Amino acid sequence: MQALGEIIRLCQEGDSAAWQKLVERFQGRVYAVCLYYLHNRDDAVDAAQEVFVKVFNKLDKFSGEEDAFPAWLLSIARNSCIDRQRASQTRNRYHSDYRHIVSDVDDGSDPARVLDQDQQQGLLYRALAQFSDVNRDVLLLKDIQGLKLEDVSRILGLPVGTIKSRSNRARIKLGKLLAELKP
Amino acid sequence: MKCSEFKLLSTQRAQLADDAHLREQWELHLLDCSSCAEAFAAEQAFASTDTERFTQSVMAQTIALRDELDGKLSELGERQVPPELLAGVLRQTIGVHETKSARAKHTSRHWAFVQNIMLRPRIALEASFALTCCWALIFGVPTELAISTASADEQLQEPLATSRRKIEEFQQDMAVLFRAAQPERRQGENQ
Repeated sequence: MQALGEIIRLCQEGDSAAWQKLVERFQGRVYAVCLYYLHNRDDAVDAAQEVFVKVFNKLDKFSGEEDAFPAWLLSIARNSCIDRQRASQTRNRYHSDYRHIVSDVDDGSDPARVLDQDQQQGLLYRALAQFSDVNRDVLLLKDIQGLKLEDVSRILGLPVGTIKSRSNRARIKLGKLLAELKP
Repeated sequence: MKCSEFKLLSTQRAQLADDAHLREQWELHLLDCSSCAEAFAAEQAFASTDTERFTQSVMAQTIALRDELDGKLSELGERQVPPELLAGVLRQTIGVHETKSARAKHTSRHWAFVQNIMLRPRIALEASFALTCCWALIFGVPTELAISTASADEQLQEPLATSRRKIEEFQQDMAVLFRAAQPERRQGENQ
């Protein structure tokens, strides 16, 4: 697999094939972030497209190391989703539409396995619905997307220690909620 | 919470049961610190009568739970993407990009277009006809190469006369042969 730094450099030079590779590599993560915030497949696809268009236009300005790219990209995705939520006034409407964000792609998998996976992810989304915005952001960026504590701290504007403690508390709460929600 | 505080509180269950905040801090440390979690599990194993089951129970509530949670959360980190996403992104980005590069390669693109047109058989045939017409208009038609009807008539007269003469000779020969054959035929019919 081609190194991320090399792909980014080629994209900055205007290489279309490199840009396609970059999109293919990160589209799953960006789409997951958009689904996490918007809870709707169509909105998430639109938002993800918007994110990549922004990234395409801003890529010349990205001068960081390749390790910093996922955090930069996901912070753009997060900000875009929050802007969309504000625009549609659904910021606090973390409703129970989690069913719309599971099984949104028919990949020809075993239906029983997909149903089981959907149920588990549905439980997870229901549990996440009970968290505050900040704790949900911490869980998304640190525990779901696996960003470094320093990157999460920079994106959310919170000290590293706060991120760590919030993450731990959120995980304990999530574990308990999942146990309660299990049928 | 420090490891020393955790170890102290681990021996004071009553205090943990009464104070919810303290219990949460203790649980946080149990999840966060692998060495304390393992030491706690080992201590409980010695203290318990059903050691194996108790150890498994504690481990299930700490390290195994953490691993399970990590697995579930990481599943949400990357989703299978609808196919229209990539197509939409490329249409909105590379489409713009190609236009920019097209401007930069203006001349070469036009030359490629002309080449493409000229290489088509129909266009090439018409182009060659047009060029011939232009040539004739500029330099004139090469009339000295044309055959005049008068000279062609003269040239054909001699072979034509020869052919006629040969046909007449042939007809005469055939008539002689026919006449010679008639009496023999009548004799045969009478007999």
